[in-house]
Amino acid sequence: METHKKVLLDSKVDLEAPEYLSSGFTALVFLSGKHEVVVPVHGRYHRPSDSSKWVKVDIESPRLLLRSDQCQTLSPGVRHVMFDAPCTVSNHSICSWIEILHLEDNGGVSLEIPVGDSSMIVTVCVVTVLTTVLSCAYLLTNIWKHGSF
Amino acid sequence: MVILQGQSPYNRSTFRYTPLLALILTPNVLLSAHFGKLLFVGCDLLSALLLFRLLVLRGASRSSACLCCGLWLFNPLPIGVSTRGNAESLLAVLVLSTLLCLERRRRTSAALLFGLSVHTKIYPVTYALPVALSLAGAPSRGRGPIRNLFRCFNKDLLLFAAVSGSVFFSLNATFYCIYGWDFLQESYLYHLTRRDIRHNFSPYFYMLYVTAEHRWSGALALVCFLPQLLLLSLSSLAFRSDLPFCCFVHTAVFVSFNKVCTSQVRARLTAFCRRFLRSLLMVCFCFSLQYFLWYLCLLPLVLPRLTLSLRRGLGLLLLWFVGQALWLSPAYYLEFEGWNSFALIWVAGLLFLLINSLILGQIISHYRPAEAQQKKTD
Repeated sequence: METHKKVLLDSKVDLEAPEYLSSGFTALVFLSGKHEVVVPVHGRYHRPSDSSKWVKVDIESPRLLLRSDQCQTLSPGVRHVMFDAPCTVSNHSICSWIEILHLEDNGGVSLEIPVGDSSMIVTVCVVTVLTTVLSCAYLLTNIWKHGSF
Repeated sequence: MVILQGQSPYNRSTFRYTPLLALILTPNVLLSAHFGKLLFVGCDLLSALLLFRLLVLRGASRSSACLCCGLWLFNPLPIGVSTRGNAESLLAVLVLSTLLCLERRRRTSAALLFGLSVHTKIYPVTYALPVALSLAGAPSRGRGPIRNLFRCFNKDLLLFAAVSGSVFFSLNATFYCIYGWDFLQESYLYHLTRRDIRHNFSPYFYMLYVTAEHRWSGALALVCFLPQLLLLSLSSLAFRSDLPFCCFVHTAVFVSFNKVCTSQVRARLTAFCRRFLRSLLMVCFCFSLQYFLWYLCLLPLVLPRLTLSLRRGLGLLLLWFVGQALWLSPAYYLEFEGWNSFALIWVAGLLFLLINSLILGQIISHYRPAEAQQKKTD
């Protein structure tokens, strides 16, 4: 997130934690002069499941905030609320923002994240341990034969 | 830059190294953004020089030493890592210079460099056992066990332990005073208690992922540790007379049987690779490079005494790449296309372990230590 200068996160994000050990966060994307932005999303690891191969994750629709000091005229029919948020991405000060409600949207985005198969847990453990023991035994034999003790 | 402002480098979320590295890289801000990369490339060249000196010292002819160094210098893997700005070559320089000093019997310098390298990254601490065994006196049959123990802990070993220990602890104490608990947490504890269940080359990856919240995950973690421990101890004992070879075997075992074996550049990789599909090659590089570089820098030292035929050697190398490719393909589809290829990754990981063990076994069985070679020429 440090590379994409125009995004500000509201909390420290642990990039490696699985989904069940992390909480949601809010990302503020600052658009200055642009009208469109593409935000890449990377899914966290979810708990393995024994019934399905994928898990559905819904991403909330984005909300639109406008700086109230730069917004002189607002149509009376537009529903809005006032909001306090950082003025810029460097988070030095708080400004007043207007959130436009009831925007037309496509219903949000959802991702299908693949998850492990927990019904195979015994097979996985047994085969993994057996393979490791086999490799270990092979190497130990080699070391014993060719080492100098 | 953060250090120049007087703050802790650990304020950046993924800085997991020693503050010394951040200090060394301050010219990145003061002079040029490319300073760090140039420094690491310089370290690569220095590693090649150290390899050359070590090889010649161990009795290789100058031409074969040049050839072996060329394998490190012209290898795209270390070149790729250093030019991306990864600090692995710095550690290679430290490890190789420790070995060179030990080979030349300059034990104090070796101890200093060893303390410094363990401070930089925790993994060289595994070399402590072979180094200690090579410095220790040999037990003699006539004496009792207590006397033998004293004989083993001779002056050389104690001096080495004292110097490297004091370097390590004084550096740690200094940085702890400056940066506090953050420093210990990010530099060491993070690596030791790391519970990364995301896909990586380790054979244990899938097992740890599906058992992550089970009650016997603790016992399993112990089971994972046992083969590594056994192999490291036995190989230290068996090859203590040939330190570079012992360290090579050590590192290869450590990497192959580790619980986590991955690259730390995942987050940047994702954004980067999404946009440039040709960076599939970059993906291949970055997934594997960091860990394999640890024993790659020691491979040229092993090569001169290897009696593998060229055909067999190339065959094993090809097998290694096949194993890599078999893992990388389902991993790519999992990470970037969202396919559920977990089972394939699991099988590929186990296969990769078998391949690595086979290659290492072949290296061990075809290695001729110096005395055997001398006997041949006599």
